[in-house]
Amino acid sequence: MLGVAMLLAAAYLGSRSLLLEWQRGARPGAGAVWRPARSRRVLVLYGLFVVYVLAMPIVGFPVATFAFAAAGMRATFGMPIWRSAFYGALLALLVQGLFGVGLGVPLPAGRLW
Amino acid sequence: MSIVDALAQGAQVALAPINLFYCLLGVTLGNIVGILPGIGPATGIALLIPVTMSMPAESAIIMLAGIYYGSKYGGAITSILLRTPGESSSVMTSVDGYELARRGRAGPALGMAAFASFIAGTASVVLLMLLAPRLAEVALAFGPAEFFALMMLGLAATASLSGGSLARGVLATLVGLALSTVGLDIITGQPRYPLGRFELLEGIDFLVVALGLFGIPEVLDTIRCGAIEPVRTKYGRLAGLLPARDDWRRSALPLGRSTLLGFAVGVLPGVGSIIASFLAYATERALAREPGRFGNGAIEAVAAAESADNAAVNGSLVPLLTLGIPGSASTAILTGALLMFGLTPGPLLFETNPDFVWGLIASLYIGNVLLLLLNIPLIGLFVQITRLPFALIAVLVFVLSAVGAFAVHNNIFHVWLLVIFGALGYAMRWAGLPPAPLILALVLGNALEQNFRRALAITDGDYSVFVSRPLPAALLLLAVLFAIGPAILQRHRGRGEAPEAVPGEAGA
Repeated sequence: MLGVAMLLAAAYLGSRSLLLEWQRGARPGAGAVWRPARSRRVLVLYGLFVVYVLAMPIVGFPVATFAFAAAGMRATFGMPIWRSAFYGALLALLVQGLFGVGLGVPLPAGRLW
Repeated sequence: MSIVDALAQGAQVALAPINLFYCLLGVTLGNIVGILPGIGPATGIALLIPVTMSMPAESAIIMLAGIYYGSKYGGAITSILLRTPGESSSVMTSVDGYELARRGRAGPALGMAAFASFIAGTASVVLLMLLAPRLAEVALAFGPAEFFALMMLGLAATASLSGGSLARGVLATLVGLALSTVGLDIITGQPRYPLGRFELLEGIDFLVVALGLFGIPEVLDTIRCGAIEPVRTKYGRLAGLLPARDDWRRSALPLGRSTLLGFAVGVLPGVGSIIASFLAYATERALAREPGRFGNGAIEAVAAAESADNAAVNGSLVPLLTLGIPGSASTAILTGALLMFGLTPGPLLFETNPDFVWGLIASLYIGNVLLLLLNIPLIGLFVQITRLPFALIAVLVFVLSAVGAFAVHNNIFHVWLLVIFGALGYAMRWAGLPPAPLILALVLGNALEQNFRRALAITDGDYSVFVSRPLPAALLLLAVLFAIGPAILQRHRGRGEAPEAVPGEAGA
């Protein structure tokens, strides 16, 4: 009951706040301007991140990290292919070192290392 | 046990080689977090909690606290040299600091920022040490009604002061409270909103929400705002970091006053260090003999802003350690970390874990010395960090967030929760909703509900328990004033817009 009450109150406040913004003729979040090129970057990086999370249990953290980092840096920020691959490998090593070996946190099934 | 004895006992913990190492690591990482745009202290702490999971509790918290106050030192470096505050509470430092750098006085400005941070940091630890045990003793007499009222005050203050409008702050708080109800009922054991997933029976882990709300949106927002090019600005050779005698003469009083003001502001829940540095700057300009110097390269302005910023950090540890009430996003994440290690912050912490509390306090002294030693000779090296490509920082934050969310329960479900909260956090930023009240409500939600129900159980369901005793009644009245006060003031002034604070900046 408590949770439902919170959610209902939150929904009321949220819709009221949005409505007020629209009535003023402004977008929610005054001052925020929708910039297509940058928004596309945001979408590309977040889309790749979702693919990364999907890939984790299938190919394992280090491989998925390498692929995400290299593709993310190249596709979102236009980094040269060799630099993005180098940084990707570095990150994969860091993840493995920090979480796989160093602290004994088991990695998801199917890791390839 | 006297304070001196307790501190000596704490020093033994803090000076253990392993804790010294983690203190050094924490303050160094904090410095880096402060320098890097796109990563605030809350994100930095949340990202590194998973790394601390296998450490002893005191080492972990010493390191995480080091990140918190270390970030304040780092924020000043880029504010002064590049006018790009890596951390929002350093905005006021950049006003006069950058002017000084433009006139070739970057060295003394950086030196003054480091010394002011050190002096204020150390003095405010003394205040913390004197005030916290007394407050904890008083709080031992608190019952569930008092704790409930205190938590309500903390939530109301954060909701009211951390966002652009009261409605948005309250909205974020309500979402946080609703999320905290997920999981097994703490008293009856009844499952609440598990949505058919056994993982949700344990509730929603605060770390996953913190990573989702702070880590991912900060990166996406930086991309959206276009600030992703590495800094190439030239800032000249850094020489003569020691401020001149005249600089000290001008800065001594502002530094002392701002330390006291910053500490007092830091103790208040929800106010945060950005407001402390704004207030200190405004106060010193009002008191100055030559107010025209402010904004045109006044070194005393740098001293005032930096000392208030650093003193507020230690001030914010007072309610956290003594009452278990965090006042900002960073301290809320620290509270979550304490709970993860089985340490319940509150008045009993001084009784049950004196080694830990006094070890942490002693480490604050040591950390401030380490930061001064790091910042004076290695400032050139720290500045180079701004040249790191943002592309690398962005994917690093994403990867560390994902691995951190997985490491909580070794379950991929929590990584999907991270994806959902990352999207929610970005949407919240886009809509101008502050994330700090949400995380605070999530961390406090269980304790708030528990105290509310206990108070009612004791009085057989009599709601007047919250208003019949003077302390809870006064605290609740204060909470109401915090909640509706700004709105009334705003209407009274007849302004259309609420006084704007940086969203998430109870965050700092």
